[in-house]
Amino acid sequence: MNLTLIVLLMLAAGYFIGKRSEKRHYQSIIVREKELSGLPAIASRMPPEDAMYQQHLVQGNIVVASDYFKSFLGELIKLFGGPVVPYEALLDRGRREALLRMKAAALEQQAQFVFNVKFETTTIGEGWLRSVEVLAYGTALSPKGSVNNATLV
Amino acid sequence: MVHYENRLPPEGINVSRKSAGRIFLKLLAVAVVLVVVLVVVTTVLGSTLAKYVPFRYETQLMDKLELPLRDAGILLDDPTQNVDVTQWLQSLVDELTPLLPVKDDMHFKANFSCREDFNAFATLGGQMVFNRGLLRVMPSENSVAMVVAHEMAHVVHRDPIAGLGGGLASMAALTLVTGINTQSSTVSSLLRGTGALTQRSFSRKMEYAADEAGLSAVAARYGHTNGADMLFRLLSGAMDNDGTSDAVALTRRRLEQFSSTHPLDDSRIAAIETLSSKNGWSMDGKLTPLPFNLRQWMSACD
Repeated sequence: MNLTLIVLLMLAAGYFIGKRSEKRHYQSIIVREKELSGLPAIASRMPPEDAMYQQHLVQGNIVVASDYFKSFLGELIKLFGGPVVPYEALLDRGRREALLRMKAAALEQQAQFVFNVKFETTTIGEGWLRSVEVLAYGTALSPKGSVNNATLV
Repeated sequence: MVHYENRLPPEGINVSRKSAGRIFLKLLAVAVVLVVVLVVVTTVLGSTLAKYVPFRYETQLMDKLELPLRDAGILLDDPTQNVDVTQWLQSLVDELTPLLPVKDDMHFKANFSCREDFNAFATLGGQMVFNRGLLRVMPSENSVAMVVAHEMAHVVHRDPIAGLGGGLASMAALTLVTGINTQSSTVSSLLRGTGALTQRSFSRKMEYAADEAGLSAVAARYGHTNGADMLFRLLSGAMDNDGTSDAVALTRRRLEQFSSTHPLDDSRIAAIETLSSKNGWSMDGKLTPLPFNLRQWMSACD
């Protein structure tokens, strides 16, 4: 009976605290996405040929942990199948945050574009301690002369 | 010149708008209902089929298991010790045997254990174990006879093999559903817990049935049922005198009833009174004293 009570408390804590932290994270993401919208992150491998650019590898990564409620619901959904709804927001936040961090790294190089942008995802930990790492990386293009020690395209 | 820009997409494209809380409640309810149905069906099926296993197979199995279990100290103490107590218990068994609906190939074997737990149990092959912790607080032979008859009734009803068959069948079904996890999964544990709780309701039914058959044998043996409810009165008294308030104790015991394999002691005392009155068995009568040397016999454990 005590175990059931602990599980219920953990579920309630995971649900309310996880929901609050997710909401705050999304608010922060939306604000920063608007701020960094002037720096395009492009999937294409073909950079513009109108000018000379210096190129740098830039990356941004984040490790996001699932809360107790999400992990529990994820396990429950696995019994029946279907979209694992609780992990959708987790991965969405991870991808957007990693992209924002990559853009922040590119801005430090005074980049005008980031080309060849890719994502990598890795799970870290086992069982209930599992987290997901999302890495976004690409080639930042900065106008010639803005940064030292970079390769010219 | 090519123009590059990142247009901000509308929110919610990659995230379902369904409420996680609602999905959780719906799936949990469905999972619990499915597990309960699954356990009920497999337990009934497994225990019903297990009862068709001839009693002699139970005996053969226990003959093979007895020595390893004794060596491991799991089941029984050394039968060469405490011979007097064992013989006395066996004589009670022999007296009660004709008073129960025993089938021809069935036989019973009483065992005494030096364990101090307040417990007695019947297992496969008609083997029954009575702990010193239980015998030392019994005030009369009538009370011991009720415990003995109760355990014999379990054997007569084939409860040990039915419990084993039902338990194995439901465990196999639950494992199929929840999977064999090397990692501990709370969902699996919770569903297995739900299954275990469901299965315990079957145990409680078996206990009531064994009480009824045991009481009938005791009434036939002594001509009354005085002292038959002593086991449950002792258990109930021990629970009431633990310093908690009546309301707290009652709530706790209702919760324990839900999660226990045995019915509440008060319910069993009431059932004994009802049965006695229904069958015209007197609840007053002369109690038969315990053997004079019982405490001395049991002191061989020390």
